[in-house]
Amino acid sequence: MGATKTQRVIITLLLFVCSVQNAFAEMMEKGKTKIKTLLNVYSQSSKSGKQVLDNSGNEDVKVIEPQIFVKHQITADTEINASFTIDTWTAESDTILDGNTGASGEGKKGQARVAPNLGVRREVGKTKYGMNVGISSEYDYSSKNISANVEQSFAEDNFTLGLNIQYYADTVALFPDITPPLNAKIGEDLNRDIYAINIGASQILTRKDIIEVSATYANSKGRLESTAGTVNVNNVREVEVLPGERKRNAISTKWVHAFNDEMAMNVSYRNYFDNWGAHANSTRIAFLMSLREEQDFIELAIRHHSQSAVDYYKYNFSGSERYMTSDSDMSKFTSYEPSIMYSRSLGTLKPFGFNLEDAEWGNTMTYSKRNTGLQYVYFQTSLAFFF
Amino acid sequence: MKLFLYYGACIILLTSCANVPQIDRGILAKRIMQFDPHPEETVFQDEVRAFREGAIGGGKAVGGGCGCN
Repeated sequence: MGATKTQRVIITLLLFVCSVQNAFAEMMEKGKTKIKTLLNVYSQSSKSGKQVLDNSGNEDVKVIEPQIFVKHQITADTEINASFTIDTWTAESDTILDGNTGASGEGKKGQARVAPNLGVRREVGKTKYGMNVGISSEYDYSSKNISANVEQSFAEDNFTLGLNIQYYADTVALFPDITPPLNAKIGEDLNRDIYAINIGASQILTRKDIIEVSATYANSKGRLESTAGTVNVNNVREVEVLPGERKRNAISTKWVHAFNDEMAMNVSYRNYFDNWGAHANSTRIAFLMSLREEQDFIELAIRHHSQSAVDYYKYNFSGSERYMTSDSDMSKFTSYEPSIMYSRSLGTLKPFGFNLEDAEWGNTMTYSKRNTGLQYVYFQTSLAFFF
Repeated sequence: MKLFLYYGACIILLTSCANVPQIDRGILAKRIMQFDPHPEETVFQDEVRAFREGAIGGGKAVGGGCGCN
C-alpha cells in the first residue's frame, strides 16, 4: 500500500527546498517523487600552501556537506526539482588570517554555507527545456545564480544537441589590510560576476557505443582574489592581486563502450586554457559493472590531471608586481585520482508506515594526490527512494 | 570567443550518418551506459575539481557559487 496523500504532501513540504543541476535524465511517471539524501565528508591535508599567511603552508581542510535532492513529476512532461546543501567548513588555512578577530563571524569555531536551488524541466516533443535558480551564502561569499538548458534530438534520437547557460551574481569580502593580521577586518562585499555557456552534442555510434563532445566558455569579472590568499614579498606578507577578468575555455569529450550487458567502459578527456596562461589536460577512465541483474552497481575509475601555473604565480616575490598570487590551486602540478563507487538496490522500504519504493544505497570513495604534496580524500554516502 | 565559436561549429557538424533503431538500443538504456550514472554525487565532485584545480569544463561547476578554499 502506498503512502497516503497527506503523507506525500508532508514529505514534499518537509524536504522541498532547492534544485539540482541535472543532466536531462529520463522523465518519471506522473505523480512520482524521487528523494535522494547525500552526505559528503571531505578531508584535505597539505603543508605546501605558499598562500598561507603564517608561512606554515598549512592547507588542512575538513568539510561535512549534507545535501538533499528532490524531483517531482507534476505532469507527464514537466518535472520540478530542488536541492539543499549545508556546507560546514573548518578551513584552518582560511581562518588563520582572521585569527579570531571576529571578522569571520565565528573565528575558528567553523563556518557554514547554505545553498538552496530550485528548478523546472519540461519535455515537448523532441525538445527538452530546463531552468534553475539558486542562492548560496557564507560569511565572506554570497551567490545568486540562474541557469537555463535546452536540448534537441535528431535522427530518431541518435543525435542530440544541447545548450546550457549559467550566470552567477556573486559577491566576495576580502581583507584590504592585513598589517598586522590580528587586527585585520574584512571589507565590504565586492562584485564577482560569472557567465558561462556550454554547447554539447552526443551521437550514438553503434548498439554499444555512444560519444559526447562539449565546449565551455566562462567569463569571470570583478574581484577574483581569494579571501585568505596572500603572497610573500621580500618576507612581508601582502594580499594577492589578480586581474579583474578571466576568460576560460574547455573542450571535453566522452566515449562509453559496452563490453556486454553488464560491463562498460567510460573514457573522458578535457583540454582547458585561459587568458591567465593556465593550460590543463584531464583524462579519466572508468569501468562500470552491474551485478545481480542490475541490483548492484560498481564503478572503478582513475583520473589524471596536469596543469601549468597561471602567469602571475610565484612561490615568493622579490618585489611588488602588478598581479601576484601564490595560490597552490593555480600552481603547476599533476595529480592522480582513483575512486570507487558501489550502490545496492534495497527494494521497497516501509519505515513508519511510509512506502518508499526502489530504494538505493550508494557509497563512493575518492582519493587524490598531487605531486606537490597536497592530497585529499572524500567519502559520499547516499540513500535514494521513490514514492 | 573565436575559439569557442570554432569548436561550437565542429560540434554542430557532428550529424548522424548511421542510425541505430530504437529496438536495438537496449544496452544503451542501461545505467552502465549513461554519461553520468550518478549525477547527484557528481555535483560535489565537480565542485571539488573546479576549486582545487582551477580548470573548469566537462562538468556543471564553472567556478561560481561559493568561496571554497
